[in-house]
Amino acid sequence: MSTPGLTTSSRSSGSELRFSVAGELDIATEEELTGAVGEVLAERRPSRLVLDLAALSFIDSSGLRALLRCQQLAEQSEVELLLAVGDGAVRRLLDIAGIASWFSYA
Amino acid sequence: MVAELTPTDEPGRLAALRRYDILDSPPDGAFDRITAVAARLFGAPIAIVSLVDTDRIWFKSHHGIDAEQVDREPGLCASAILQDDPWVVTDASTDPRTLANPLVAGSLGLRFYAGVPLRTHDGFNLGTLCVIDHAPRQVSPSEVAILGDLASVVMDEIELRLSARHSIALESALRPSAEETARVLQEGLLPSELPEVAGLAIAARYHVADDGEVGGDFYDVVPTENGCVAFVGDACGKGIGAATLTGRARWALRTLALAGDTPAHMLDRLNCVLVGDETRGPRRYCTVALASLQRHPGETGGEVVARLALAGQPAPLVVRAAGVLESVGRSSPIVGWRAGACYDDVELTLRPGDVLVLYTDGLVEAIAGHGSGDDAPLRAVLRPLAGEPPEVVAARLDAALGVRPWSDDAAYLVVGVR
Repeated sequence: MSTPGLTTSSRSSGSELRFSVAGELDIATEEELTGAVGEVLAERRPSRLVLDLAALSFIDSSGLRALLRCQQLAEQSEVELLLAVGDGAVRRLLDIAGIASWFSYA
Repeated sequence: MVAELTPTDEPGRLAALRRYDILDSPPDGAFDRITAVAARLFGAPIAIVSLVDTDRIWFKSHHGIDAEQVDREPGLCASAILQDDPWVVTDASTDPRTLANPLVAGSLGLRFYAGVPLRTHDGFNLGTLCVIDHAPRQVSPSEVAILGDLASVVMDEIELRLSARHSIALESALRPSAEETARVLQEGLLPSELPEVAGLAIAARYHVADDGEVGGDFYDVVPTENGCVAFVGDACGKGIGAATLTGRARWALRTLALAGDTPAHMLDRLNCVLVGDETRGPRRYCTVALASLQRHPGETGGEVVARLALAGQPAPLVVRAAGVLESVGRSSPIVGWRAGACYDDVELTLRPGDVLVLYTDGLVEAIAGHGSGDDAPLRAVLRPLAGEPPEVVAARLDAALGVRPWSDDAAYLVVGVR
């Protein structure tokens, strides 16, 4: 099975950092995301982090755990975390997992 | 081969040489650096790491000479490995040990040779590190000592390569056994057979994903006073970590089922237990679809009251005998991540011929395709199955599973009222 992996990019505007993620977020890439988010939180010290997941083509339960970890990392750094999701796979998974209300949205 | 040039335990020595699997191996920078250093140290044109094979002397590294091997018989290295000390010939044309040697008398015109045996930890001389010159020369004891040190470095490199190969072989020998461990663990996480429950027929399936890793799906049926508690679940992630959470969740639920709580209370308590669990390793959550099915007291058949609660699972489906397909249950949070998550019971009545399908999200994906959370294909499989017994429903689901490979496990429990 191919693992297309994850591509990430970030863009600052003022104290807000927009961190965009594309590709597949699963057991193969979850640590890549949490590692990258941990880094931008530590190095860029934004006051607000927008995690843009609109370009994710796949997410599974490990990917969901990665989002929950990102939330913990943001809380520890006292950074406001917002998710930007379309009405696609990420939103559906958050709804099924019953945790859509655990996150704030951009 | 000349008998006097044969070491005492030649078969043992050759076996040791084979053990290192170094003959005819590709050039290696580590050895080339050592021969370059040895040549520079002596100011000599040629330095060689040689290995004495049955009929030839093969050069693992040759500095200052193009040949990759020579015949064993005239080779001076064959003489050098006969003793454990450095073997030095300061002028080969006058030394009685070498003056008739074709390498000395012939066009090569070898005059100076200093070789130190490459001695294995178990005492076999595999070959030499040697320095060669076309002119006679004297060497000091300290130069010979340094050559000895360099020969030890060569032997360390050879031993290191052998142990690295052993480690790799050992690791690949262990890897299947780690998978085997996980498989045995997983077998222990699933019931060997489902209990008989009066008034109900139950079928269960567990399809493992294709990536060779143990997944975290689980299911179980626990008989209770007037019926049973049935659940399917999925511990996030894969491998042994997920499997151990599967085990903890399944046994916690089996215990809670005996206490007679409603499904929502059971999930509350499961969440408390898992959130409070300080087990080491990365944090994991799990998802559960949980149903209690109860006959009316004193009856052994007829309608069943089902109470259902969800934790992060897609809503179970009910195939009514009358032909309607219903999705039941209220979406509620995963268990094991956040304290205080709330769960709700949904109550419904199942009549004879009705079938309740509890499933993990892997089933949706296995039917709809990788990455699809669309449950329409699953519904389309179930809709025409009104009135069919659970075993038939499960078999139809099996047949609807898409083309492998699947990235996720799929577990389903089909409970029918007789």
